[in-house]
Amino acid sequence: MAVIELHNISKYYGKITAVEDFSLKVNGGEFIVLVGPSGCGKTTILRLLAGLTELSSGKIIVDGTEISQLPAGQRNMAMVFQNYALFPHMTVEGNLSFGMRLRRVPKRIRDKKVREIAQILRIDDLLNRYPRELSGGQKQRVALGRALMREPTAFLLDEPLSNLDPALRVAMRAEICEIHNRFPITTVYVTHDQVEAMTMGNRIAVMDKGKLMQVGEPKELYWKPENLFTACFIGSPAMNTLPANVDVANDELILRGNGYEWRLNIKDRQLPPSLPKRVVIGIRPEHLRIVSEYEDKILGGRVVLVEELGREEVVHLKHNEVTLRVISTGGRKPNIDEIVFVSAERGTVHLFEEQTGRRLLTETL
Amino acid sequence: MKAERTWGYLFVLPAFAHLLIFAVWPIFFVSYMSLFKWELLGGKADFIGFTNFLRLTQDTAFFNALKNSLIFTLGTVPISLVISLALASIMARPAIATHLFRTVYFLPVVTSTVAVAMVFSWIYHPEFGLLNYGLRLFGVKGPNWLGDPRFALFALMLMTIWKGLGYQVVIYLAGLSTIPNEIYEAAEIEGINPWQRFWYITFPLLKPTTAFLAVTGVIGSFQVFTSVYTMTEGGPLRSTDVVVYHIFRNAFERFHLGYASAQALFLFAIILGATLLQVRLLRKEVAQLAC
Amino acid sequence: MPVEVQVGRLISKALCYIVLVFGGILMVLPFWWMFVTSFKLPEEVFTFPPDFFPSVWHWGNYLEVVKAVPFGRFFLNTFIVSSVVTVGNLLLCSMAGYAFARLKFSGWELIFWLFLASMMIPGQVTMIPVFVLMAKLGWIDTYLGLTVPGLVGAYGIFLMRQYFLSLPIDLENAARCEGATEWQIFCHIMFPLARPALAVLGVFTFMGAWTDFLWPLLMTNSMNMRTLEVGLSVFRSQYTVNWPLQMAGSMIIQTPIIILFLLTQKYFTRGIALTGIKG
Repeated sequence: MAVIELHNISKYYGKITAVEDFSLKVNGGEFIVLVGPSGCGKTTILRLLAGLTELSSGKIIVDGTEISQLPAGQRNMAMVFQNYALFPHMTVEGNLSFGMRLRRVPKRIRDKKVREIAQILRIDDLLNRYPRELSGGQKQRVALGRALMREPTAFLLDEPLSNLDPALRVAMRAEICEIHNRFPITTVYVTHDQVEAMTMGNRIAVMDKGKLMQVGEPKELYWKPENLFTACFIGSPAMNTLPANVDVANDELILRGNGYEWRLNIKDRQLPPSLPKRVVIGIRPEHLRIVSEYEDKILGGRVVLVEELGREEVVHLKHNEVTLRVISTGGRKPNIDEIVFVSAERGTVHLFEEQTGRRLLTETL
Repeated sequence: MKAERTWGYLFVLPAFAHLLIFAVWPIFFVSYMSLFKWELLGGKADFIGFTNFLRLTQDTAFFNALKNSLIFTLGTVPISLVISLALASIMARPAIATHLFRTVYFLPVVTSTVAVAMVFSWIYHPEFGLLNYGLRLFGVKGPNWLGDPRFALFALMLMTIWKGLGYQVVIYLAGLSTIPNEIYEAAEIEGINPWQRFWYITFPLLKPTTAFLAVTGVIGSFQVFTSVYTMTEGGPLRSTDVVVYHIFRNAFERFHLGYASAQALFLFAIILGATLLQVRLLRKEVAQLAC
Repeated sequence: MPVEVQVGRLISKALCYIVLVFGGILMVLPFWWMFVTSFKLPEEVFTFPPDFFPSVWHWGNYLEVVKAVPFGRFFLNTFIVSSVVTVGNLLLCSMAGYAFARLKFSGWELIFWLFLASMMIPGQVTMIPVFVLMAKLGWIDTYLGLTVPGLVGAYGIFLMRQYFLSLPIDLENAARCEGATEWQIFCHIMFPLARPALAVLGVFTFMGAWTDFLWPLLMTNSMNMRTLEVGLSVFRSQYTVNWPLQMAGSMIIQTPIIILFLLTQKYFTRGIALTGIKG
């Protein structure tokens, strides 16, 4: 089980920066997910790992050996491409055995391995079909199978589920995790879908504009986002953000915005040495509650939209210039234009520096 | 990757060597030859500087050939563009059995020019030819097409249009097929009539195709050779002596290789100039062609 | 739909067909005329009005033509030359086209531009120096002289490059991850995948070489090396007034091309789409 280390990797295309100063250590057998919006450089990282793109600077080390200069064919990485990249002029069998044929593996061994892999992926009755005769899910399985044909140093998967319909995507998600449990090979998985990232990864690396924003386990990213970007990217619907000014009085941190005021108890808390004047309050929609006018409320707002999801509703409120999303379960469904009031659960408020997006503190219980 | 680059050179090498030997070197060598009195094969050549080019400026026979080529080009390219665009527009209409017509019109394009030239010589026969028979049905007495200096070049042009029409029709059809139907439907809703439809939508959107056909058509018609060689041998009275035929005679029948080289360079300059001029005039349309 | 509109549509459709059919007749008539004349006796052709169907079909003209000139040999020569040129183009154009599409070696733009520019050079400009070269090499009247100058064409390289650009790049990457060398990728993946474009290029090249005239005319002296096209032209000059014989000769060289065209015509239309001419 290979340990992959990326040291200060950068990739420039002329003046365009695809990846900048990216460092990451992937542990042996780990399933790590690179996630970020499109164009954030996550696919570039994968291609750099595979050796399909040349590094501008930095080092890639696998099990202590630098492989930055090795051509793709000698890195022993298996890659699954977004569009599967099945060879259209070869049967499923031909696609699976392609690499072995190149390496002149005897037919007996080849056939045995093909059968074994095909059985695991339940494509053994498709071996004589051509890719054009397969459904999306079957193509996906063949592509996975081709990657499994050797014992690769690492698995690289580039948005492998993005071409499938939603139901199939959920099923394949589970299947890929099962395969990983069965063959615990170091895996780097790229996706733009944060739900996929959260459900699949042992750890997740969040990227934006070619830079690494945060690495951590799913729970860590959700509860302790290092920065505003991660906070807003992880979780759906996205975290609410409210700009505010900070004052410290006694044991309380007083956050004042346009028409709202928020007091956080900071007794026994280690505060950053110097607090900036302007901050952003972050709070997830699922941590807000709709309350009556007489309860302990933060602010009131006019309902502009109610999205009904069955089990819950997402209520969109407008208060001056800020819009808040609140997940409301049970209770009365508010009407459009009604004024409602919200309060926050304790221990769920994050504070970020407005200028840098850096996390200042997370309220604790 | 580095290996990739090395392979890139290896893959291009054979074609590039061929290009150097059969396109780049000849351009230099033909320029070199044009400075010599280079007679007969392997014979001794005398350096004469720009004498060949001076001779060229006073060579009425050469200018006659240039004039014929110019008439030929101006007489064939625009007319065949108009006819082929009209035919293609008709064929592209829904519910027209395009397939059969496309085959029929394309047939002359692929066939042997020599054979076509031979059958047209027969069709142009002054007394028993098919063309004059057809004209007589309308009460017109046809001329001696290939034997009369006033008509010979025209007869060649007619045949050239006939032979090349299908190619242009097919290219126009390809162009027409790329115009999305929604555009026509949107115009339909505005209440456009077929004539407006052609002038405001089809024709402007086909400009790149027209530009392509005009450029290649001009280049092609300056190079016409086989039909002249087979049908008229430049005659009668040099009325069909087009420029490539003229150069061919000078080089390979009279063996004035040096002088023919000068003429070939002159032709190259004209074709290049005409092409660049067209590209300039049709810059926008040509830009859309480049991929 | 109102009746007037329906009638109007019917009339316009009828007009379209009339124009197309009339044009179609003009396109086919010379071929028919060639066909009919080739079966007539020499004296039969000078009749007025002309016969569009001969009263008697004289196969004798064809026998006479075959006896007069070695059309079998011409056919063999043409076949050899066209095949060699086609194979050369398929292989070399696809290799260069692939390199220009995918293997971004430094300086590729310049070389590609040179190829594109070479398309602007008319063959008549290069023919004199290339002829001199062939004469120096002693290649005149040989298959080498007939084929080597046509082994690669810039047009073919351009066509193949366009096609390779349209193939998903991840196919190569997948093969690269499997450890394939560039040569293996080309042989196992790209070349087989380029079959549609290769078919188009092959048909175009073969037909072009088959009907080429000027170069074989320059390159051949002896009857034994003539191609069909040149041979026919020689034949014509020997039988200037015998129209049925001339037409029979034309039919002999025309028929294989027409059959080949009818069999492969889908590639012509496809080829035109492939060259990327947009509307």
